[in-house]
Amino acid sequence: MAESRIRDLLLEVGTEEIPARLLDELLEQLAAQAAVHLAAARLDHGSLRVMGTPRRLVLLVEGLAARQRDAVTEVKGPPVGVAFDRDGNPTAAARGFARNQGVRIDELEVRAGYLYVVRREPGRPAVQVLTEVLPATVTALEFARPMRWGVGETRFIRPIRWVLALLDDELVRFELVGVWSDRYTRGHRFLAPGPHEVESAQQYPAVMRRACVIVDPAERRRMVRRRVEAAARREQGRVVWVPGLLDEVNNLVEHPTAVVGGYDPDYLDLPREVLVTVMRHHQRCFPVEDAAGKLLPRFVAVRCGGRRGLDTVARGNAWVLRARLADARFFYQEDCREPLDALLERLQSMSFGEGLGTVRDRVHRIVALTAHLARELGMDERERKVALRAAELCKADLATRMVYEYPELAGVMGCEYARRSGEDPAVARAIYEHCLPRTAEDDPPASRPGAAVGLADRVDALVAFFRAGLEASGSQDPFGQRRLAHGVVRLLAGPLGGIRLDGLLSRAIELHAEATDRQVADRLTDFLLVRFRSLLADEGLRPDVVEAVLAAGHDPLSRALARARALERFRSTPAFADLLATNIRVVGLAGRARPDRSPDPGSLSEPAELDLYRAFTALRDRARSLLADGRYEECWSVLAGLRPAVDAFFDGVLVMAPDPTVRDNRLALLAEIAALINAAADLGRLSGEGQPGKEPPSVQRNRR
Amino acid sequence: MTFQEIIARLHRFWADRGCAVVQPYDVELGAGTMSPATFLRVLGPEPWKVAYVQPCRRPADGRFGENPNRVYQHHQYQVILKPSPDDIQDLYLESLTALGLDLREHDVRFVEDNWEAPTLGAWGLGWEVWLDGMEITQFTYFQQVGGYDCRPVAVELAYGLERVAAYLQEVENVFDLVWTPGLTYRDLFHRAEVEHTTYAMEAADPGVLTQLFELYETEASRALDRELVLPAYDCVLRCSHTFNLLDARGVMGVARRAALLARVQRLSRRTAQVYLQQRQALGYPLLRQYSL
Repeated sequence: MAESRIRDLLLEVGTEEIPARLLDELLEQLAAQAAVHLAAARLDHGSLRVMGTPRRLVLLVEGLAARQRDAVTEVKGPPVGVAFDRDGNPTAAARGFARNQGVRIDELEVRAGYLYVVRREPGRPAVQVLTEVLPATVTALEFARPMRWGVGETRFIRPIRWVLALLDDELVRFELVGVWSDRYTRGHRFLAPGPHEVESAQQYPAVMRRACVIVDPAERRRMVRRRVEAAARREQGRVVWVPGLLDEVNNLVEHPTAVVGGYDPDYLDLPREVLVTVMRHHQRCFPVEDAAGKLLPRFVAVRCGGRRGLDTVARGNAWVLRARLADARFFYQEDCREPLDALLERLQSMSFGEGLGTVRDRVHRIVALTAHLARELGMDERERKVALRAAELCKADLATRMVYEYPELAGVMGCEYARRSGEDPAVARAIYEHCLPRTAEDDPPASRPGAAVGLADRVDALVAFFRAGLEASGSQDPFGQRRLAHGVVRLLAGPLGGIRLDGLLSRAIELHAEATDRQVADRLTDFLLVRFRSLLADEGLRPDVVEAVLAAGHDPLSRALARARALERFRSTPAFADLLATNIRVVGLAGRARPDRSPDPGSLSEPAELDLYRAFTALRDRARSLLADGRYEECWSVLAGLRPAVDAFFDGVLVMAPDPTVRDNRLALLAEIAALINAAADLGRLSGEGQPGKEPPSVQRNRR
Repeated sequence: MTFQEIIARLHRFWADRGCAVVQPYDVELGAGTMSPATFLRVLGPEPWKVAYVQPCRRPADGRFGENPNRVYQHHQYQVILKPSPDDIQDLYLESLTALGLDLREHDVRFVEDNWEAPTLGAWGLGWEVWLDGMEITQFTYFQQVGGYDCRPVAVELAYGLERVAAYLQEVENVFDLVWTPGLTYRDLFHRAEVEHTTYAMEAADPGVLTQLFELYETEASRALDRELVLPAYDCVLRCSHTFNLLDARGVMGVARRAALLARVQRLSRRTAQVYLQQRQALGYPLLRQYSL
């Protein structure tokens, strides 16, 4: 039967240009939604792929079942003994069940002693089911900013203009946002506009090749890279792969062709970052450098189209770039007319955000907070001077024309202009560094002044947003607060290790409010800890290790990080099992100890408890000092040595003795041991290895 | 192709596609969007197709006629189609062909660029259109105007005429553009650039401007009380321009700037509201004249 074979499904949703930055994520959503909807529709399938360009989202499913799986639903009824009387006639129970289920008694089935209604819904042909599944899949896609168009009410990322849906060579006919699916696609806008008929799903790649569209983003990306590289080579140079630009360019084209152009070498006097930014910002062009890493007066643009008119395209791009570079040079010259610190005045009339005060106010707070950090870090006089001067100047470049035009050059221009204004080179460097890390891939700054100013800047901004009730939540992240928080935890875990978060936040909030605001501090701490957890997860630390460590305290973050790394390592040593076994035995009862008691050696009488007390006191001070020195693994190894004494104690002593004095004394001893074992990490939170507050079986046996 | 020939061709092109070609609005505007032919007409259910040139004044962009790319006053070619037609991208590309461009020889791209004008309570989604790397048009599907959802959605095409002309004429400096043979952009506008920039940045009396802002604001409000939408809106536009002059003069602090903007925004929203009520009361006359 023809319908029993498997088939290939093709869906192409043709749209107006989808924003480049959203395409990859949209395709991921499409794959996920397709899998969910196909499964819900009981349509089995083989591989599922998504592809796309600015003008199309494509789904390819291979080996799709030609029919849905049959659906079998079973409803359990009364037991056979109740359903039939001695003569085998149905009772009221059986009749009632059948009636409620809307079936005749003779349609009921008996299974394992019970009555059942079994309904079999035969699977429908895939081509029919897909008329519901495909539109449901596409309309399930979610966008931060969807749009409406024409007279319709439907929202999508951009208007949908055609839909192509084929199951092998059969049209899957449905309506999507007022557009009926058909067997036509469109090609490259100018090279092969179409419409082009697609005879079958299998024919699609060949049709798209003829239509001059590279549908597969990975293939297109390789092509962009290869062509850009070759173009730069022809100019005796190599490409400067500006971060993120290749992906963006890839999602701006359906048919990439590299175009080379040049600009006046005089512009090479401008700082490299300025040239790179101008090329990237306006035209998504790749800069070209020589073997020594010096920029050449060349660029590579990626055109959407073939080689026809390439000279015209190159000329046009060069023309635009020239105008932009002329602007940039004008901004640079204007900016250089005044020393950087003369611009501070202008920050007075620059708002940080609605209701958030001026940038000048912020600079005052950043300076004060940097001073706090300088003290905490024990900076010497020279380092402190550098940090404070950098703090004072760190936002001055916001008042420059260059940064007004290219906000991504903040920090970069500050450094450049500071140097030109005759500031200490260390100050200039710290201004540059205070913006680091800009992304998760960036390293944090190398110098402490740069790191301190960067921390002060980010913490102050976050406090401002949180106090104004503008904190990020869900998909809303105005002002990039998650990125700021990421920077804060990176700095606290790295170059500024040892700084305590609570003291830092109190000081930062005081600077805003002249009083502490516990609520803001708590919310902000939680927000930062979310970032800290993801930082630890990115390091490959397991979630239960992270939770165990954070349960024992997060401050300072650098120590928490060290404890987590230590625990991850310690977990694979033999002593770990001993420590855990010891912990499991002591923590349960430790929780029953009276909080104000410490063990009194005079009230210990039984040999096993005296042995445990001696064993514990013999290593207690050493364990504590290892803990204080951050030598966590050694500390845990030492404590694991308690295991024989603890085992002997539980085997030989009845902890819950009838005499309350004796009992409380024993509990107090266990509590002290448990506290030390769990000081660096709450071991009970390690998954599958004992839970806090629950008495393990061995203890219960002992009590009996 | 001369500057005026570009305008003539665009007029012909959009007139042939059913647009009413209207004349520039006679009150100072910062963008073609602010003309009542856009701001008001995109509101409500009535269809609307219009094309016009709009001289746009942006005092803060004035450079005394010395900068090759920035001017106090530039020209936008504005097209509004409501509801947005399904083939609008193709229509737009055809208009470029009408300007003599063979698109297969060029690189035309639609690059995400969303638009927001808080003082108009307006935002939309769309692109900047690139021609060989140069932004020549803003292409926007209006989603909200005056704080009201646009139903149906209007599409706005705003061609930057100086950019288009500079590209077609292969000219580096806007003042070298040929308006019509024998007459350049410099001949026509250079003196105006010098005078207007000097006035906006140096000569304007901030005290008088502040008074004017308040007078126009009061007058707009008074006119709205009597449901005189168009006179009220003219006053709103004058408020907005006066604000722009104060801004260029560099005499406003952050707080004052934000406060004045909020006042313009309130007025423009109220204008939109009264306009919508009025059109409804009139039974949306244009619904009868066009068929959707």
